[in-house]
Amino acid sequence: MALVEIKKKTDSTFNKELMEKYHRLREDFLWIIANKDKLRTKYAKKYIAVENKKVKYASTTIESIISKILRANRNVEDFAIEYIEEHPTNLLF
Amino acid sequence: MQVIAGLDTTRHGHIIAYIMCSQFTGPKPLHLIVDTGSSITTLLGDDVTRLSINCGVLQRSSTPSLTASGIITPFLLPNVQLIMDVSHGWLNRKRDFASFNLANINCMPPTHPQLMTQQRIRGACSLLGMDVLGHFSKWKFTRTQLILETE
Repeated sequence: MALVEIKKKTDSTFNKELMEKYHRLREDFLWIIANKDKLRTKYAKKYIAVENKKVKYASTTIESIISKILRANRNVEDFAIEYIEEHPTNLLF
Repeated sequence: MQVIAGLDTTRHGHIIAYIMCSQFTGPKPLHLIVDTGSSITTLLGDDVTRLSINCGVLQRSSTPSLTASGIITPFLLPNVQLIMDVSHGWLNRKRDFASFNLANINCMPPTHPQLMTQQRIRGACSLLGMDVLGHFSKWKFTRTQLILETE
């Protein structure tokens, strides 16, 4: 298999629903990144699950936020899930 | 072909992708940070948990990884497709998904004491490494975007 393959919109794996979901999730992730400071005031030290640029669930551990989503009979894949640090942090990998 | 990463306030590039592998029945979303310091694309502990990856059935890498916190030996998740939104064709006018087919990516399990750094890395998103980034020869930073382009 080639390293990179273009998946045409007609590819059955990548149907319209999946593409729409991708673009919504992308917007939600970018919304979190752009609004971290504002989110920090309410959700510091918590994981948040965002759907359509709204925080739907929040919890202190990744496991518990997954449990909340599943208890609500929702799919984890429908949400952009991120951790909100207490303070702005720099990255060192 | 062109991939566009969103930039945060510290100018790190963020890419949203779908990931597919034999452990999943369909594509799952993944938030990756562009990390030229990472040789291999790496899923960190929170994503391993969120994606329900079973590390118990994975082989460990034969090559240790040098991290800022010391040397670790990650698990290898085989036959992974990372699927991203790309522009391609003449003047990059066509929009489609592109699948980056990777023989293995690294997986950092969230709790294994011998394999993880002492402190669980919270909030860090997974790393898009040079196995994918090396494909792009032109990099351009704008105010809000990092544009990665092949020749």
